[in-house]
Amino acid sequence: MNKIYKVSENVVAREIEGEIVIVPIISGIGSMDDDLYTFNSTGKRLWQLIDGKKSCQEIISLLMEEYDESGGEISSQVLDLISELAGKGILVEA
Amino acid sequence: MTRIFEAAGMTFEVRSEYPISDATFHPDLSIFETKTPGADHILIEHFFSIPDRLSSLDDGNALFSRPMWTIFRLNDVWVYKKNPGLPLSRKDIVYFEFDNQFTHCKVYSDFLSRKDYQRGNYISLTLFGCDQILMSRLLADRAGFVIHSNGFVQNRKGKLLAGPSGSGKTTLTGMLRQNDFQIAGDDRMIVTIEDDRAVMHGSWLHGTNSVISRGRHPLESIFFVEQAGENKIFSMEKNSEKISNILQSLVRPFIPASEWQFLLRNVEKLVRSVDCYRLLFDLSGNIIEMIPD
Repeated sequence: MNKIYKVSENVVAREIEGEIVIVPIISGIGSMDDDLYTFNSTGKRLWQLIDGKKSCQEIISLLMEEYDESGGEISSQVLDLISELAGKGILVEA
Repeated sequence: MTRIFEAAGMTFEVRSEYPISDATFHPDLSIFETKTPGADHILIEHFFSIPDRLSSLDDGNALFSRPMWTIFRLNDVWVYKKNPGLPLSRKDIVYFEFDNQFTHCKVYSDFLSRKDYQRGNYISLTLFGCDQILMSRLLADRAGFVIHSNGFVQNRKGKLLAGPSGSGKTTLTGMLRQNDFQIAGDDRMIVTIEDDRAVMHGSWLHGTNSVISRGRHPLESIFFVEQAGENKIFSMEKNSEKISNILQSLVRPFIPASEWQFLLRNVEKLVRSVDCYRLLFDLSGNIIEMIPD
């Protein structure tokens, strides 16, 4: 919960037509590997909060102020997504 | 002797240490030949020995390493090392050396005899592979992409059938051909963004069916195909679905993050300028009349 993450230098992210698109830039050259991410509004907000300064706990607290879902639901969703993105190398510990 | 070819607004001049014969390149490439270099000109040179500066490269110093490709930055040039693999034999390595602007490509190999080269019947200008790595890199600077797709023309508009290998692109293309559609390309299509509009280009890039064509058409639609037990075409409404499908169909170049931003801006323009559909089809052929004009 106290870990701080930042976006890896090996991915590039861009908001396209309201969606955040994340593309690994050093894998899949010449190929069409299925390793892309797109985020809708909730995921997009989480992505914006991952800035290499805020801890996971701080991010969860901010999202709890913004969304109606229970703290437990937000906490588990955030930690699951961060864990998945870190596992893929999209996020690294700051 | 040199040969000059044209595709997607670029001209490619090929020079070689060995004389280029009439049989060095496949006859299909002749439709792309031109006499004069264009304003956007790429020089490709073939060499048949490998200089020490390349053969001594240590894979441990690579910027990028995957089974097929290892990429190095060496002083002011980029080196793409094509590792052994089919159809090359285990020991055969090819080096592509690019200048900083990617306007000059030197291809080094050491296993082709003069005779091999002169009767090579090559369908790619870099001799090895189908030029998709070269093209995808060049197009990244030129608001373009190589898309893993087949192309066809309907009412003078370009249309793409995209999807991963095995999705049915070839089968559906065969059905279109039987119904007298003009097939524009097989497995690798070039798309550029010009004045915020998408344009489909014929080129010599192709998959196993060697369908190649010259010419350019406004790109109107992309169909992401799936062979299924029914015939249906759904318009994709969600941008995330369009973007995800398009990005998964791109032949990805090796470019830095700043250039990826430019590429993604152009993906955004592509999403805005073409209609995207999910297309399910069975083997009845009935899907053909459902394809929107």
